[in-house]
Amino acid sequence: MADVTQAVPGSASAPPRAAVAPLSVRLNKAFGPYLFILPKLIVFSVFMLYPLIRAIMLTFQGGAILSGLSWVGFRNYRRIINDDIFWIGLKNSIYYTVMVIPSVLIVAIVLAGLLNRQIRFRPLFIVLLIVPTVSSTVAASVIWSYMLQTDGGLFNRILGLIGLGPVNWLGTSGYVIPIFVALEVWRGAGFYTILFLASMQSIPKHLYDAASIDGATGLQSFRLVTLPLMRPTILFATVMATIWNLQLFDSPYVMTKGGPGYASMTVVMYIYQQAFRFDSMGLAATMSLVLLLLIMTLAVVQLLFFRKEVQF
Amino acid sequence: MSAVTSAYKPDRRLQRNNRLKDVATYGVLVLACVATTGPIIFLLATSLKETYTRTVDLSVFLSPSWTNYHNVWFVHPFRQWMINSLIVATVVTVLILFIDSLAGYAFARKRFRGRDGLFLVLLATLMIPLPVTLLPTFLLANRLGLINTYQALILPGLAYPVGVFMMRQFIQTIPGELEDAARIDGMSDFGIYIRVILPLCIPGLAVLGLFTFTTSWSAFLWPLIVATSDSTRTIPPGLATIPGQYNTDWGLATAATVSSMIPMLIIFLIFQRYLRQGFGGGRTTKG
Amino acid sequence: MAEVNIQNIVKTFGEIRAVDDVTLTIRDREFLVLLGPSGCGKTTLLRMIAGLEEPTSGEIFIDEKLVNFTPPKDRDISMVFQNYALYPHMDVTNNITLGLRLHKTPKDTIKARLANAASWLQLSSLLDRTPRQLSGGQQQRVALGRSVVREPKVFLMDEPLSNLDARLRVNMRAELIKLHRQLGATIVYVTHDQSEAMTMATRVAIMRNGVLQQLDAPLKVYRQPANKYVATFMGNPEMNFLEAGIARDGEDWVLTGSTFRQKLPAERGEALSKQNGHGFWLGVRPEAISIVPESESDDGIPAIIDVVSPMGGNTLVYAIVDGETLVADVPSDVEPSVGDKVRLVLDPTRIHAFDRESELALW
Repeated sequence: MADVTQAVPGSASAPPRAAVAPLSVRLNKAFGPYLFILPKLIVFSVFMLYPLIRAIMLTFQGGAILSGLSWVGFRNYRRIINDDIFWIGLKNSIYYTVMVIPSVLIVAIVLAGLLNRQIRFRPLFIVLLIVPTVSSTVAASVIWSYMLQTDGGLFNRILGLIGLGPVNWLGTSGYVIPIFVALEVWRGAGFYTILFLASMQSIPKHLYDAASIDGATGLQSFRLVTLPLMRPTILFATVMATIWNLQLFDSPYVMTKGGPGYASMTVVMYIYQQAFRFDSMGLAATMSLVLLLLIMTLAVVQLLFFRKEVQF
Repeated sequence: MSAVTSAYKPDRRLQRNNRLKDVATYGVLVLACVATTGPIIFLLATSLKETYTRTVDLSVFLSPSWTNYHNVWFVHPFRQWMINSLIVATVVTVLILFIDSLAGYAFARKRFRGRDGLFLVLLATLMIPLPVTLLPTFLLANRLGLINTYQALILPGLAYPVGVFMMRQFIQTIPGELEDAARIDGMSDFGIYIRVILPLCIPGLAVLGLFTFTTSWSAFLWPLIVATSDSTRTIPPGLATIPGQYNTDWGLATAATVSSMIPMLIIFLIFQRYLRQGFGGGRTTKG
Repeated sequence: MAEVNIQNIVKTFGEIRAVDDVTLTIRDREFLVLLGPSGCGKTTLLRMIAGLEEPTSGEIFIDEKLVNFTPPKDRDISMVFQNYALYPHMDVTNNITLGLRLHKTPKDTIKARLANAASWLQLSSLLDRTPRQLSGGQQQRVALGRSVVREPKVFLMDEPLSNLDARLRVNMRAELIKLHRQLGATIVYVTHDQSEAMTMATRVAIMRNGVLQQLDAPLKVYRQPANKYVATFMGNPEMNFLEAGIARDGEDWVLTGSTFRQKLPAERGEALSKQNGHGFWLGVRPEAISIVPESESDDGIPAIIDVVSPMGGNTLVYAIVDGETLVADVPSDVEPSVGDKVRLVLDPTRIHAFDRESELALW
């Protein structure tokens, strides 16, 4: 070790000075990164965090915007417990979500799997499949309203060809929610297809080579290689789809206004009515908070469920 | 065993099997494309008819009438809605790309106190449904006198955190060595963001931009509440008024719907190139 | 003059001490190689010299100026990265000249330096390509060009050759030696490859777990390793080690193992006998072992040939001694057969001894 000490210059014997960074360096180090997140932080605080806290406060307030809000304790909570329409709305939203998520995700996985094969015209197929996705939900709802007209709509004309009578699609309680499900599969599948296709294309090819040497057929390697490696993407899609679909509003608003009766009344429809028709901000806020709690619970359950799956 | 023999002479059964699979693949895809585009062709046909009748056949494409489109664009307030939608979606997208990539960069690369906690808070708010923040934001906008202004349509859209998450993921794939090299070349932190990070993020920015533009373009509930006059109303709440207001003039409704889809379609076609680049190109995994 | 002075530098990442109280001076015009396995702190040390990492404590001087808080761009250094770190969205010209432009170098100077570097590195025909359009070797040369045009006081290089294929790597070593000589530059070069250290370094600093082990000219380190770790790291194949004790055999001192006795020069034996606390490691380089048939000698260590691996000019012979494998590097005209019983004769002037406990060299 003599060689090391030999390399030390004479000044090493002096007691080590504590080097202190200049103020500008310290300031930049302390605050520099915050400048990058500052713009987001500001809009996020004003339009996400503040409204969240304000919403929680609103649940303890009654009255209308014009007449002024006042504190009412737990009255809003007691009222929604006995509000049958709220529970119908919640039930409809959940029913819709439970039907739409497996449908749209399975359709998307199948389409992505097919697009991922060696096929011609892939870009053309993608564009055609994505067309409904780039239309807004409202535009899609107008299109479907048009097709579902009792008198002369496309669906009833097709039924007419095989001799079946016209059906009042949007006027039949049992049909409306399934129609919204079909609409969302039609409109949303393209988005999830693109997402899944991207995920599939990021799987290294050599894994498929290994699987085929191990004797896996196309479908087996899809099940044994593709699906397990797509798990994070599928989890992400499922969680996000749950959050979005529980907020169903656009198509019932445009197509049925919640009818017939309350057959297509959804939570968000009802919240909207309470807040902006009947001016019951506090009640609406309380309902939205229940929706938030429901979404949080489901998200956590989904994460736990998938974690177990991943370990397996 | 059959795989071994097929290497020497074509296995008839395997070939037939493959052809069958191809037929099934193209069959399903074509069917899906008919399902997605069929209604839109039907819509288009209706919009191109001089006057609405219950029966529509494809012969209208041979002699289209532009009356409905003329009405939509020059008689009806639709044009103003279109302008409003374009302004709002463009501004939201540009601002989101800027502030989210800026924040995403810091979350991906910078070390600072509270980073992980803050990121978790951002992520957690992905779960907040729109109605929760909608009511207080409306009260706020009302108090600030922002009802029926572009600001009210634009600002709340900037709070959604998903872009920060996406940009962070994307920036993490950029090698850190490049930043080191840039620092040694003499760039400032902000210079690195502008000259190194942003150019390399283009595929990621394209995906986020497309997502943001689509979301903003089809936003319905919030504009429905804060944009109640034609001067600020965007397309979705506008479209929703057509059926009732005009006793469902389907000619007009279909022409407006088709018109509302065109900008999105153009933008998608332009950015599709970037999407595929961002998603790893047209590489195939089988075969 | 470009001397880098590193004083008691410590860098911790959480609980981990990546660099642990390192003090060393990199002399003007020196080609100093920081050598060690991955995770030994060599890259962290280099990054602290560059200014990409801030020391937890200690000081760094470049030309007697404290640079701890000087941003990289003002340190008058340049750096070549392991993965080259070329800007993918810029062409070769821009990659090379960006640093100069950011430092507000006059346009004529930039032009001249670019032309100079491009001709030296054979990049003149590639200047408007982007990194994607270049081969690995070409990218490497661009990275070098970017570094050279800066004409810095100190060149920092972080495993710049490790991504090249073997042939190219050997060629680039020669180029780097030439670069060093032509520019009279101070170079700090990080690698885990002892042969790069051996061939290029003026001096080599060997690190382990953040601690500097030895700093000296490569051959000096090779011949007089400060401890067992350094002895193992420098040299390929590695030095052989046998557990040994010391004993007196009449007039002579001998190192003794379970199967062997090795005579020692008197003064070395004397020195060892005073330190015989916990025994020794006897260390011997492969080329200090010769092989003789068992019948010809009763000196040396009895062994059985396990593997014979001809290298062309020389042959590596792996022999088993008491369950341990020893490697001998012998001339290729020595051709033992697998299974032969032989004796390994050690060159008494070229054996090393290390303390069993501290593993420090005992002479």
